[in-house]
This record gives sequence, structure tokens and C-alpha cells, in this order.
Amino acid sequence: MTQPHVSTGRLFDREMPEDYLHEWTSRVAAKRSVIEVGRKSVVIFKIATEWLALPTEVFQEVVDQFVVRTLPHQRGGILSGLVNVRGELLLCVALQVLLGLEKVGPVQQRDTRTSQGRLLICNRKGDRLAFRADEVYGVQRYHPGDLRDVPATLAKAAAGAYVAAILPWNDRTVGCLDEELLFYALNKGFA
Amino acid sequence: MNKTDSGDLSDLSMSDLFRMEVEAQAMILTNGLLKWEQGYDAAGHLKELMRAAHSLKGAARIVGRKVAVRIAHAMEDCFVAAQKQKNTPSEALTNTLLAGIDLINRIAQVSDEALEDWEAGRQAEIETFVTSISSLASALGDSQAPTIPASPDSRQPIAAEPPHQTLEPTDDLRKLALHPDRVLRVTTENLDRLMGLAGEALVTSRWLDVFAANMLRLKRLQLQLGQGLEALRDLLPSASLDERIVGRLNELRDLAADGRHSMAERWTDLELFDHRFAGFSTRLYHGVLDCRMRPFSDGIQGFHRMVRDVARSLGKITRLEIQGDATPVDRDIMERLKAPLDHLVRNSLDHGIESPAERRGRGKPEEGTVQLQACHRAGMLVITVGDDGCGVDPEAVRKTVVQRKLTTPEATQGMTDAELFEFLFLPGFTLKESVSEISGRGVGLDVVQTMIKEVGGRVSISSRRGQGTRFQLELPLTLSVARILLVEIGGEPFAFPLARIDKVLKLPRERIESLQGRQHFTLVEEQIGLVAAHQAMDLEDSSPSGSDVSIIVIGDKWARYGLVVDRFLGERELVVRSLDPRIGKLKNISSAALMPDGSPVLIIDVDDLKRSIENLVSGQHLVRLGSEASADTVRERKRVLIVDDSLTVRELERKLLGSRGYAVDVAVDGMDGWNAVRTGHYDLVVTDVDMPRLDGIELLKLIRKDSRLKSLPVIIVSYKDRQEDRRRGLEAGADYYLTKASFHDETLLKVVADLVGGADR
Repeated sequence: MTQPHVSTGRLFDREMPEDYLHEWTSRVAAKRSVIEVGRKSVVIFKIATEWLALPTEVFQEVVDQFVVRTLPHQRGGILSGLVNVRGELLLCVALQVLLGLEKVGPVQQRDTRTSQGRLLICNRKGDRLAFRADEVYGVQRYHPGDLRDVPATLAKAAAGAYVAAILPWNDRTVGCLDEELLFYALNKGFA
Repeated sequence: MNKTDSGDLSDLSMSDLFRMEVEAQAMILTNGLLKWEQGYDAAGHLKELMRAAHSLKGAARIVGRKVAVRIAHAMEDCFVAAQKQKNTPSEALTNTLLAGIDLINRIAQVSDEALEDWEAGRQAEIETFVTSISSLASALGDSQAPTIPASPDSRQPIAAEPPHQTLEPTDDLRKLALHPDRVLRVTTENLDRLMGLAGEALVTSRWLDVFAANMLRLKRLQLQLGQGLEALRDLLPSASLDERIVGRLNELRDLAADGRHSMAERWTDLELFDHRFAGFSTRLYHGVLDCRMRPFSDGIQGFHRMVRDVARSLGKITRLEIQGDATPVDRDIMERLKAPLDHLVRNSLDHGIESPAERRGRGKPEEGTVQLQACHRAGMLVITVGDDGCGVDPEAVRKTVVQRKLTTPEATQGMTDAELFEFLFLPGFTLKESVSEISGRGVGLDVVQTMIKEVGGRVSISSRRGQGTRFQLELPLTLSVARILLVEIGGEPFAFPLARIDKVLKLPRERIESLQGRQHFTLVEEQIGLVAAHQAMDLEDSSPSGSDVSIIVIGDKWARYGLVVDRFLGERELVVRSLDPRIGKLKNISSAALMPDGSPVLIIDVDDLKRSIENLVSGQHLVRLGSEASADTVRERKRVLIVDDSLTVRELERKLLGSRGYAVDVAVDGMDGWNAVRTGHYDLVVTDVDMPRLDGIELLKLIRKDSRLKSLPVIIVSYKDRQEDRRRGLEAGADYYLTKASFHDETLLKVVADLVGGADR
């Protein structure tokens, strides 16, 4: 039993190589952006039939067990209800209403008591809210150069304003949402 | 979003707006100054400082505060100079600039009428300030001697002020240190969050209970397994048994016994843990609850003084006696209790206590007593306001009730005193013939009752002729925990505060009658109209078709409604959570709570719901038609978006354009404006140039690049009137470039009419 112990101790207590400090200093001091530059990431999710994406940093977590409680007098509005996420009551918004996707396909079953799909929790500079998606693919990294312009037909449509760019992904395209505008519109929509 | 911005500011005067703007800019200036002094990101902070001073100057100019314009101008100059020097400010300069902020703050507080006198009285001080600031600013470049002001005596009178102000909090701190109870400031938001988490911990701890019960089943299974082995062994003929089988059986039996044993141990551990955890969570929860409590004496600090003053003005001698001043009271309840208590005490002084001469005549001491008592009783906070005055005369109440035709003389004969006194809480009901300063207007007791009801409490009167009156308030201990009735409406659970429910009943369907198409039923000789809860709340109809109907009766004796709900789910005690402030007040909902299973439930605002029902009952079609018509008129007006970081300018433009019939929205800076312009449909944008986050020129460039917005007319309104500024704006694509002087004549309005025409579509 003592043998490995001693050797472990020897490993940890061994003298530092001469240039050890120097090597690490240069590594820590090196500009990280050299590797990071141009790499961005988004979370891709599906609402109705559309694949959409928002920057990863706006998300706090994704929950699969949840109950959305409907608020009265809000039928068909942006505000779809209230959810409990780890003891905190958060507003749940209907992105499909804001983006005008309801007509595209069935978004969710009528029954709100049982959870279906995923609940995405956003926290954008303390601005917290949740929304429901039918599917969440996960985090996708991309290079800004991969982004394509929004097709003219979409750019001219009112709801199209929320899609900032198109990202090709797995033989299809994902609409990257403009988070600044999206949160602005959502917050404004509550009042 | 700035709250004051979305709210209606139209009632405020220009000087009110200026005051609000000064408050906001002063904060930016102070913070920026302190950061600049520390030397972090000096260039960035200076830019911010310049902008704030600049905005202040513009706002002051609009409201005609010339002195403030001069001070702001001097400050702006100083920041411009500093930008060139790239030096941190001397201590003297920071002090002087801070003094300047205070000075502008003071100017903003002066009313328009008093302004001239005020300015005249402080001419010297202001002159000194302006000269000292410019000399200090010019000394900025001189990095060697930053602490010596150009003329030492000239800044004395002003610089002496800020240190005096900073002394005050230190005094407070010293007082606190002497006080045994140290006080810590916690925001309500944080406390609410803690409260929520503590409540959640309590709920989670209960899950272990369920888990332990399931473990018990596992334990039983193991026991059965052991017993089964024993039985198996007994069944086998012992003689013919192979040694190997016996050995194997014994081994299995030992193993099962081992499993049982260790299971029992784990189970005991779990139970102990459950017990401890539940205990801790309960204590944590109550601990957090206690944080919301303040001693009763905190809420009634001014009362001694008030009693003395009011009694004197009435020519009475009265003493205030307080009992139970250490009784803990929830701070929210305390806050809402002050006004009703104040009213009740004044009421006692005015109506109750007699004049010294009268009291002598009745053999009472000349000095009257008003008693305030607070205690906890049976899980309620009980507060009594009593006096040893003349009491209420039931006959006088009876007479007034009959006179005012509130009921028949015969009916009053059968009423007890307590029932008669209930009439005192009716709006506009008074026994006093003359209206006094203190009370007797007949407004008051009804307000008291409403306020007490709002916090889920009750108020009752007892009185003895000649001996005094007592008002007894029964209140919940805290607003953060509510006793509620859970019901299902439209397939979703909702909670009614028990205190606001009159009756709950299940009624056989055949007992519901119909009159003119409206349903009602009879409850103890009273006809109560029925309303479907889902209809009043605009929820889906999913009422069950059973033989009984579940009804909640709400309202008071003057208007009672029977609310039909899907079903009753039971009574609970839940932690009340406030709703996200972003959504404002939700119709018919007061707050929310979490159910034991963790799902949210909404708590009904019964008063609000009563109003909804009243609207529903009294011709809903009219209401609906009305709202559609008004929506149409809004749509027909042309929409203008105003983008400016100065509140004063924004409101001035809003008023100006609003008065011509345009529908006006505002945005607080370029970024806000860019968001607004993309989400709303505007006919025109009026923007400032210098703004934080995104300036007007950049905003304009973004608009001109956007395929949907590029033809949107944009007017720039700026203080900058140099030729190059103008050219920059027009090159970026502005349709007009105006200076802010255009408010004073019709230029802005003319240009707007020129670009988009009149307000109507």
C-alpha cells in the first residue's frame, strides 16, 4: 500500500522544470481570441415547423418537466402563462405568436397541464423569461462567415424582421433570431 | 424600459418633468464623476458626463432655468477641457462639480413662482461657482498642482456643502452601532426570492416523506423474501437434502437477513434525515418569514404627536395608550395599516372623546384615553382601537338608517346593536351633523373597511353608551402566506383567498331558476345571480355536467354574486408570490403561488373579479362595441416615434405633436428607437443626435439600410447647429435637420405636416 503512495508523493513533490513558470506565463498571457475569434454559438430549436436559433449566452437552461399555467384574458396573446422553474415563477411567452408561426402548423396540444416539448429559460442581462419549443437540437457552433442574408420575401414581411440571418445546418436552414429586437418586442408586448 | 416613460406623463408640468430629468442625470453625473476620479476608463466616462451635462443644459433651457443652463454649461466645458488633458480631476474639482450637481438639484426643486427670488438671493454663490469651476478646469492640464484651486477662498461657500451631506449617513451609522439590533438593508426583491426558495425547500422536503413510504414497501418485500425462503426450506424433505442445497439455502437465508438488516438501517437513516431536513426547512421558512416582521411600535411612531395635536385643536385632553408595541407585524400589512389606524384614532378623538367639561359632568376624569392594542390571537393579528368616550348611540344610528331609507323602520327594530353598527361602514354614512376638519364627512369608515378587507382582514365595532367605542381589526399574520380555496375553472386551478369568500356551496341543478335569461338561485331568502367563472375570466368552458353545481358566493350584502366554478379542489395554505412587474396588473389576478407539486397557481383578485362581473352583467355588448370603435380611431391616426435621451425634450415633443392629433410613441435612446421602429409601424421618426448606446446618425443609417424602412421620413432635432453637423445629418439621409429652438415656433409642426400631412389617415 505504501508503494504507490510514496510514488504519488514523489510525482507531486518533484521539482519544477526550469522553464515551467515561463512556459505557463506565456501560455496564460497569450491572446485567447486567436482561437476564439469568429467562433460563435447558438442554440437551435424548433417551433411548429420552423427551425430557429438564438445565441447560446441568452439561455440559462432547458427544462423538460414543466407546467404552464394559463393567465386569464390572454388568449392568443404573446403571454402564454406562468411556469415554476426551481422555485421561481417565470413568465412564459409564446414565440410563435410574436413570430406569426401559429398558422404554420400545430404548435402544441391544447392540454397545458402535462408538459410536452421543451421549455427554454432565457436570462438576458437579468431579463428572465421562458418559452416553449417543440424540439431542441442543442448548441451549434458556427463561423460568422457561414451566415447568409435573409431572403427578400422574408425581409419584407413584418415577422421576418426578427430573423437576422440564415444559418445552413444539416441540409436545411435555421433562422437566427435578432435577440435584441426579440426581447425588446416581448417586454413591450407584456405591457 | 423606464417606467415613467411608458406611463402617462401628460398630467405633469414641465418643471415636474425637469425635476425628474435632473434626478436621473444627476445620478449619471455623480456616478460618472466618481469613476472618473478613480481613473477607470476616463475617456468613456467623460463622454457620458459630457452627454449628461449637455442634456441637462438643454432641458434647463426649455424650462427657462437660466442659472441651471449656466451651471450645466460650465460643467460641460469642464468635461470638454478634461477630455483634451486626459488627467484625472483634482479633489477640489470633483468637490466643486458635485456641489454643482447639488446646486442644479436645488434649482429643480424651486417652484416657477419662487424662481426669481431664489436666483436673486444666490447670485453671488452661483457666480463663485462658475468662476471656480472654470479656473479649476483650466488647472486640469497642470498635473503638478492639482489640489490648489486658483482662488482658494472663492470656492469655499460651495465646497463646504457636500462634506456636510456625507456626514449625515455616518451619524446614522453611529446610531446604529449603539443600537443593539443592527439593521441590514435588503431589497424586497431579494427577500421575496429567498422567501420563494425557502417555500420551495419546504415543499421539496415533503417529497422525502413520500419516498420513505415507498421504501417501506421495499422493506416489506425483503421481509417476504426471507419468509419465503424459510417456507421453502420447511417444505423440502430434510432427510433427502443434498449438502450442497442446504449450504446454498443457508447462504441465501443469511443474504436475505443481511439485506433486511441493512435496509432497516438505511431506512432509519433516511427517516432521521427526513426529520432533520423537514425541521430545517420549516425553520428556514419561518426565519425568512420573520425577516418581514417589524414591531408594532414602528408603524405608529407618529401617533403620540398626532393625538396630542388633534386633541388640542379640538379643545380636548387626551392620552394615547399603546399596548403590545413589540408585537411583530408583517411590514406589508403595517404599511397598509397606517392610514386606517390613523383614521380610526382621529375618529375616536373627534366622535368618541368628549370635551373636558362634559366628561366632568359624567363623572369621568377630564383626560380621555385612546387605546391602541396589538396582539397575536389564534393565528391572527388583532389590533384594537378603543376610547373611553361617549360611545355610539344605537338609536341615533337607527334613526339615520331609516331617514336615509336604507331599510324599513320595522326591519331596524329586529336588528342587534352589532348589526346596526355595520351601517357605519357604508359609504357616505355619518351621524355628525356638521362636517369638521378631522372627520364627519362620511368618508372614512368605509375606506377603513375596504383597506382592511384588501389585506384579508375584518373590522368590527362594539360600543357602550357613555363608556366608549372599540374597533377591532382582525388581520392575517402575514401577507406572504394566504389561506385559500383551490377551485378549477376552465380546466385550470385557481385560488380564492378564504377571507374574501362569503359562502361556498354545491347546488342541485334543478334549484337554479331563470329570470329574463339570467340564472339565479335562492340563498336564505336572498336571490343571488349566477355567473360562469370562466366567462368572467375569459377562459375556456369546460364545466362538468354533473347533477350539482359548485358555487362560490362573493361580494357584500349590497351586491352578491354566485360564481360557478368547475369543481372545488380543497383548502390550502400557500406562499403568495408577486407576479413579474413587467406585466403590470393582470386583470382579475392579484398574485400567484406554488402548489405542493410545484405547479403554479394564480390567486384571484376578488374585488377586480367583482367589477368584471358587474361589467359582464350590465350589457357586455355595449362595452365590446365601444372598445372596438376606439381601437379604430387610434389606428386611423398617423404614428410618430420620438427618440431622445432627454425626458424633458421627449415630453415636450410628445405634447406638441400629440396636441395636433398624431399618435406619439417615445424611445429613450437610439437602440430603443431602432427596436421600436422595427416592431411598430411608424409614419415618421423624430430623433436627437447625441444619445447613449446608439446615436441619432447611426440610427438613421440603420433605417436607410433596412429594406422595409428605407423610405421612412426622419427628422433630426438637435442642439448642434453648426453647418458640419447639419451636413452630417443630411448626408446620412435625414429629411430635415432642425435645432431645438424649433419647439418655440411652429417649425417642427410645419415640417411634420410637410412630410406626412395631417394627423388623420
